[in-house]
Amino acid sequence: MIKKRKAAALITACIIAVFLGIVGILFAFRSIQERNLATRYVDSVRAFWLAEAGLAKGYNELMSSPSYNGESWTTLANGDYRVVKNITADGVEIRAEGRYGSSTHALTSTLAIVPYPFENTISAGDDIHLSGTQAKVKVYGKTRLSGDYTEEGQDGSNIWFADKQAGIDSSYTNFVIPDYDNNGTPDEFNDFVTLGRESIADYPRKKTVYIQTNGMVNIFPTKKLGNKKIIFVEGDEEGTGDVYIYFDASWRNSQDITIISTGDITYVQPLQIQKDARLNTISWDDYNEISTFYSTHESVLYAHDDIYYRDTFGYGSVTGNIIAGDDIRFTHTYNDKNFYYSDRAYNGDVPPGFGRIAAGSGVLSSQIEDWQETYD
Amino acid sequence: MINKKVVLSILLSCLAIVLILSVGKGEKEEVVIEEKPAKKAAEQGQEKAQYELVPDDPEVYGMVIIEGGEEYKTQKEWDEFVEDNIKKLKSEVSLETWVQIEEEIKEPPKVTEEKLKEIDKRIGELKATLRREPSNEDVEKRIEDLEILKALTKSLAP
Repeated sequence: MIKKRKAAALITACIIAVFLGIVGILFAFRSIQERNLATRYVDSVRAFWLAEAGLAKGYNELMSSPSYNGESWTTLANGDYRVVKNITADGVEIRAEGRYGSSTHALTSTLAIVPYPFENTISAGDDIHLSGTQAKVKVYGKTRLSGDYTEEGQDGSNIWFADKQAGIDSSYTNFVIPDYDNNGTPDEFNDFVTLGRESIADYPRKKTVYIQTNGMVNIFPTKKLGNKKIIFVEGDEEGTGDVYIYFDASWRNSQDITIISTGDITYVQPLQIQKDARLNTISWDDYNEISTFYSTHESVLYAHDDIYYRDTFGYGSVTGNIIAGDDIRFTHTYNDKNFYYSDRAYNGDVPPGFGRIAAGSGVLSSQIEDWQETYD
Repeated sequence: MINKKVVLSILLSCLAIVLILSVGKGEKEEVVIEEKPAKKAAEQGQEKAQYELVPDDPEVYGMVIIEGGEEYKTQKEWDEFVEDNIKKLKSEVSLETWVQIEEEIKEPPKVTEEKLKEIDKRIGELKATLRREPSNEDVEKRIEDLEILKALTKSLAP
C-alpha cells in the first residue's frame, strides 16, 4: 500500500515538474516575444524620430539654400537618416527616411515654390513696348522687366504703371522650364513637350484633353470642357499646334483650366462671366489677345516668347499674372485696358500645369503644404 | 482518491490558463504611429496617372481644326465659320447666359460701324504691306486675326 502511494506521489511529482517546466518555457518564450516586440516598437519610434529629424534638417537646409539637393545616409544617435529632394507638380517634395535596427520610416512633405513672377501683375523677360493708337493702359500692382520700356504711341497713347522696375535680373521676371529630358540643358522645346505631357499625367485622364496636330485648333466654350484642367495641343515641331480660344472654355463657375500649346495661343474676345473662374495659358511661342467688344478675364498667362495686346477695339480688363519670356507689346487701337494683380497663385492656388514650369525658379514657400508617412 | 481529483483539477486549470495566455498573443503586433493624410493629394494630381497617352478626338469637345496646309480662309469663309460656331454656342448655353453675354458686349450701333470701318482700313493697310512682303507671316497672321474680329463683330453686333 505504501509502495503504491509512493509511486503515485512520484508520478504526480513528475507530472507537476514537467508541467511547471512547460509553463516556465512558455513564459520564457512569451517574455522573449514581448521583448522583441518592445524592441521593434522602440526601433520603429526611433526610426520615425530619425525621419522627422531628417525632414527638419531638409527643411532648414532648403530654407537657407534652395540649391540643397538632399543627403545620403547619415548616422545619428545610433541610427541613420537620409533626405531625398524631388521636384513635383506642386513644388519641392522632401522625403526623409529614418532607419533604426530593423525598422525604417519615411516621411514626405511638400514645399510650394512661389515663382517671383507671381508677385507681379506683369513680368517681361525682356522689353515692354507701346506702339498703339489712342491706347490707354493702366497696370496696377507690380511691373517687372529685365529689358527697357519704350513708348512710341500715337494720339495720346500711354501706359500708367503703379510700380515699374526695369533692367532687373531675369530670374525675377521669367520662368525656366526644367530639364525634363535630362540632357543637361533646361528650357528647350523637348522639355516643353514633356512638361505638357507630364501636366496631363498629373491629373486623371478624364480631366484632360490631349490633341496632336500641326493645325490651328479653334476652341469655343462648351459644357464638355467644364471639368477639365489641362488641354494640351502638341505639334510635331516648334511653332505648330496653334490655338485660338473664343470667349472662354466652359462658362462654368470655378473653372480653372490651363491651355498648353507648342505654338501660338490667341485669345479672341475674352469674356469670362462666371464666378471664381480662370482660364490660363502656357505657350511655347507667342500669346496674342484680340477683341472687338468689352472683354474681361482672370488668367495666369505665360508665353515662352512674346505677348501681344493688339487689335483690340473695346475696353478690357485682365486680372492675374502676365509673364512673357521675351517682350510684351501693346499695339492697341481705340482701347482702354486695365491690368489688375491677383494673389491667388502667390498664395498657393497655382493654376494647373504651372507647378511644372514654376518649379525651376522662385521663392520657396516657408509653409509646409502637407506631410505624410509613406509606405513603399 | 480525493487527492487525485484535486491534483487533476489543478493540472487542468493550469493547462487552461496557459492555453488562454498563449492563444492570440503570438501574432506580430503592428506599431501604429499617427499619420496625417496628404492634403487633397489625389485632387492635386500627386498620384501620378498610369496610362498610355492617346490623343483625343477634338470634335468631341466641339473644337475645329484648320490644318496648316490649308489656304487662309477668305473673309466670307471666316464670316460663315464664326456664324456657324456662334449658332452652335447659342444652342449650347442657357438663354440666361446668352442674355448676360449680350448685355456685357452691348454698344451703340454707330460704335460698331466705326469699328468695322477701322478694321477694314487696317486690313487694307496690311494687305498692301503683304503685297510688298509676300512672305511676311506676321502680317498674314494679323490679317487673319482682323478678319476673325470682323466676322465676330458682324455676328455679335446688336
